[in-house]
Amino acid sequence: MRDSLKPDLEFALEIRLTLKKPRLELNGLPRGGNRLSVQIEQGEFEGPLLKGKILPGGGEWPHIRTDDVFCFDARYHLQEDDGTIILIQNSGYRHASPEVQERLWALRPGDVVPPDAYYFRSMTRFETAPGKHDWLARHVFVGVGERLEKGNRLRYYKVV
Amino acid sequence: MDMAPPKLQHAFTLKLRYETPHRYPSTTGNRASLQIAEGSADGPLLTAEVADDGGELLIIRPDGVLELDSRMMLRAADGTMIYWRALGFVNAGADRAAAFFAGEDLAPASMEAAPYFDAPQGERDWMTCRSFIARGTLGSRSAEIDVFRMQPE
Repeated sequence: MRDSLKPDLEFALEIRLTLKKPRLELNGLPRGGNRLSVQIEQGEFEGPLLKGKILPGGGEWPHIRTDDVFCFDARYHLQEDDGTIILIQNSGYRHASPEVQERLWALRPGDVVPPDAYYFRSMTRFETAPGKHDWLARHVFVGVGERLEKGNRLRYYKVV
Repeated sequence: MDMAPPKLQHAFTLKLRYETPHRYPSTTGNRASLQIAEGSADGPLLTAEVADDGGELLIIRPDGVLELDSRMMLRAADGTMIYWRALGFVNAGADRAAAFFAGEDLAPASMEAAPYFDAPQGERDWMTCRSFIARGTLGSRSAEIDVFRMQPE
């Protein structure tokens, strides 16, 4: 029997980002851990109902906690091919064993870390104009991420 | 009870120049985003430059007030990184705010905000242990903001 309180996930879109280097590091926060600034170079997105590119500007300012959990906190804009601008505000966690964490941090050229070797999940909110794309602003989304050599890829699912 | 208002000390003045804004309607309200092209902070307590593509995320209210949500990373003259976040208001007036949303430039209008900072523990504890208030002007091309630190009693 179907459990009506168990959510279903529906694939919504995938975003690929190229990130600017170097990332900026603020180490030794009074609360513990470090703050980073990671800005977006460029990107694009595609899903069954939308497709477009990432607008210039924007990025993320993650907090790396003393337990080595990477708490990301991003905001930037998507532009659908029809011109609609969509704000994305993304927070979430990335963590792994110390060895994997070190590889993800260093991202040596050619070093591909399989995404199931770490936990990279987002809680994501979208905002956009009333109309065709406003389902984005009325549903809860979760993302599953993969760190790539020059940026990352996140696949977003609508919680139905 | 001491009802004297808090004493403020001028910490620095932030000068920003913005890229061309993005403007878009949203289910939350009309929005605009201003990305910093370049910026600097100068004053008795801090000399720094804007180090990333931070900027302002705005809600353009029908009453002409712009709700401001600001973020940027500053690099102090000694290389230290300082993270700025602020919430505040720009009092543009209903007509100018509507014209800005329609595509015109917004001339600098009076603004105020409450910034708070992340900085490394140590020399810059004056930024992370006290409250600040900011006041100045903000338009779609530029901003000039005086930042004041609340003085210890």
